[in-house]
Amino acid sequence: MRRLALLAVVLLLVVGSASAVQADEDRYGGQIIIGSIADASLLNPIVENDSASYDINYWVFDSLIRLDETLTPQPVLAESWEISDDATEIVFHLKEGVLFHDGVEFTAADVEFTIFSILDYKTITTKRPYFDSLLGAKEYLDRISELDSLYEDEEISSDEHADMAESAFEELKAAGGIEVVDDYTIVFNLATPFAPFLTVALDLGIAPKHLLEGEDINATEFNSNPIGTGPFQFVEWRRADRIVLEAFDDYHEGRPYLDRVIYRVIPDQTVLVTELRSGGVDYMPQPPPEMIPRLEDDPNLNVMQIDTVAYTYMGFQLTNPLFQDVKVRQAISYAIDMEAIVEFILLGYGQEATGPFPEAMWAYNPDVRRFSFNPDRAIELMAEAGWTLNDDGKMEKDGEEFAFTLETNQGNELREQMVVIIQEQLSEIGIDVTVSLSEWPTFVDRLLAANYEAVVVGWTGTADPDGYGYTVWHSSQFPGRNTSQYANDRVDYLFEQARVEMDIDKRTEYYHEIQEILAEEQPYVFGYFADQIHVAHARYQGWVPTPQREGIMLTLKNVWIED
Amino acid sequence: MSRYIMRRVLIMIPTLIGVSIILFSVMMIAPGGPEAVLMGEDIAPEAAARIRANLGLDQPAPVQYLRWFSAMLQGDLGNSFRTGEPVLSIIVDRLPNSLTLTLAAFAFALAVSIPFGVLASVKHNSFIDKLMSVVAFLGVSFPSFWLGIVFILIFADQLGWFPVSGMATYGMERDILNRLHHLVLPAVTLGSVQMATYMRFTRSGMLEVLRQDYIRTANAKGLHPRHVVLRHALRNGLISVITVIGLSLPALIGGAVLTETIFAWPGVGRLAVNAVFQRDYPIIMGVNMAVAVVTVTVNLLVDIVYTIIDPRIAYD
Repeated sequence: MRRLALLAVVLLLVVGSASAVQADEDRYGGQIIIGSIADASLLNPIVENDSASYDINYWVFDSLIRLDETLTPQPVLAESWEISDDATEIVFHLKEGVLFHDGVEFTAADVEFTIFSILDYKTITTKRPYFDSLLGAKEYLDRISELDSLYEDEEISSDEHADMAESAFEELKAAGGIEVVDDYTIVFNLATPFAPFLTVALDLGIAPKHLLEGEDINATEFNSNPIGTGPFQFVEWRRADRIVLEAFDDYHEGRPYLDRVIYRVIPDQTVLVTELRSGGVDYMPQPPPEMIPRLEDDPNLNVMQIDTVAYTYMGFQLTNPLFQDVKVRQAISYAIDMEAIVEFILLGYGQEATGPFPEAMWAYNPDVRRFSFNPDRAIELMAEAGWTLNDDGKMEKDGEEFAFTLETNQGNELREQMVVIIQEQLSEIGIDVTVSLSEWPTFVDRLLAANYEAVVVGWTGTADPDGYGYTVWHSSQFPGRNTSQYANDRVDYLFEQARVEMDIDKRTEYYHEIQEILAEEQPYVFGYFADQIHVAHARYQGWVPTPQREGIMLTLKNVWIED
Repeated sequence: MSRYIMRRVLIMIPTLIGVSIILFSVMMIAPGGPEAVLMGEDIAPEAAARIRANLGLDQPAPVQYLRWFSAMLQGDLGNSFRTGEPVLSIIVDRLPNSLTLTLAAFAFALAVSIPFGVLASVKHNSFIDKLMSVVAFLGVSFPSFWLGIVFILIFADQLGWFPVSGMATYGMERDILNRLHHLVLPAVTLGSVQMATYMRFTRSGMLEVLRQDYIRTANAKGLHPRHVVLRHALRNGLISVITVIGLSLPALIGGAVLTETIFAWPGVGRLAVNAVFQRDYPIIMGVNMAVAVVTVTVNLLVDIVYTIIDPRIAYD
């Protein structure tokens, strides 16, 4: 957090001094070439599900609110909003005169359309749970799952499923969760207070109803030819090669400085770094750690480092008898030198995690139990749990040696290195780890089926701690993201309270206690938060570091070229 | 001859159906499905079953295959699971890029390997022959992704002679020189392995032919050595090379995957690999079938070229 604040100050100084010498009108013009290892897939915020699409959509589509660098909601398409005392009614007053890139005016109907499209069971989207607090939404989603299982068990036909699901969807629309009062006023009615609603649900690009109504959202031509209200408008997409955007002259917050954004797809990171150094690319996110020092030495480049929202962990399958004793889990945490892992794998560009929340978040609790590397303590704890070193130097209990398989996904170098280091370090206390790598679809299959002993993987959180917490730790979330099958009544209760409590101090207390319990119980060996590193040519000015996913890159509309 | 070609074309049909069945089965057996990717990087498990149903994956595999097959007969290869775009238009968009790269690599390989292969055989056991052997050995030993990176670091980064990656500079897509400039490094990278292979076969094929009686006769007649080598020996010496070319074309397309990745070349190779990682079944099927069609067609062409080069080979 301190580093973030410092960076913000430095940046403000830079912005301040530069603006003195360069008048605002001189800032207009020029282009930026952004290098990305992956191509986008769906240029539509309703169905987006990968980082590259998310980047482009962020520039092409506006949302009602956006979170600023302190993660505080700021108006974008919304002019203002009011939250009722019981926190179940949220009224948004929308900006007037905002235009989509095709010249049609944006209204409340577009907001309603976007959210109902997400809730529509036919849409392939990951965002449905954001809106399950709307009036009628929970019942609707339960009904759809019920119909899905009936269909899977062949109790209803595909046509019956469609009919019943469609009528459930109609009921949802009539349930009053979203009320369009007039073109510039929209009301959200929640079934129960849901504190994260504002930050999680409304940081979402609004799609145009007039172009998408009646279309198949999953496969419409719009998804490769998007039209939003954002600062940049879509020009061209050559698949696997580049996406071109241009400044939208009628942007409601004023035209962005840059004329053009070229998003180039360069799948190999070494090549991407070479392009950056030779000027074929002006910006790249997340260079491999070992290349960062060289980039920092280049006077033409500006290496920006900000806090992250994503952490990497080693998760236990808690239904496995090996890991049911908390002392065993603590022992493993003591036996793994996470500080060395951060030094060795991330080359210092990251922080050890003590729980699921990053240091920069208001919910973070700095005073939880820590497990600094201590193999002797690990062996003692194993002994307390009944495991002792045998003649071969292996941990043994009742004639069984302590051995398990640690899995991660292939192709993620940092994780691949981490499992090997863990294997090495646990062998020091006589625990035999077999490493297993599988490619992402296979891995996710095993993960979600809880079909593993231990995994190394990560979570990317949201601006609100609920997104980091409830869906991962609440016992109701298996099947779901709680693949470790963690269950603790007190933790469940605290997460439930923190969801409906609107007072941030009280919410902080709940989250602090949750972190204490998780640190004590070690259902995960909380690994690390890797810093976000973004590199741009030094002539680009005006970046605002925001500790969100792709935080710096998203502030592109503020960026200009210094001559 | 025309009957032979007719028969070969007809045999292609069951071959391609067989390929499609094997492909589809392997795809179905592979663990994990497209929902794992469509759930997003943050994994939204609640969406999984719905996604499978929306994509028609809840049907039994044979039903899915027959659906795919009958649609394909009508020219419909389906839509990408990931982007919703028609597979046919994706392939039509990107196949020319791959063919350009592959053909350029092939041309490079031939242009270098045959003259030097002949030279090595004529100057058997000389310094130049040994040098060529070393080059050929290195060519087959270096993986193309490594070679590509080295070429980029030397010729693009250090010397600045060529662009690092991509197919053309933005705004200069219609400039043929700009495109050729971008084509050189990837084509040489991709062609290197084949170049080495063709050179070895040219050399050994020529060596064998040069020892034969009719060559001795030609030499004895007092023909100019160049005439003997190029007119009399080369044709026969190339038979084995043509076989290798036919066999190596799929390898060239396979090698294109890595080369396309390194040089950010938007071709079908990368498309296919990404599709496999994302379990984008319609693209996997579409691209692989396109490659299968190209492969069996090329094999047929190779067989026809035999008869042109060597009239002793005849089909009936």
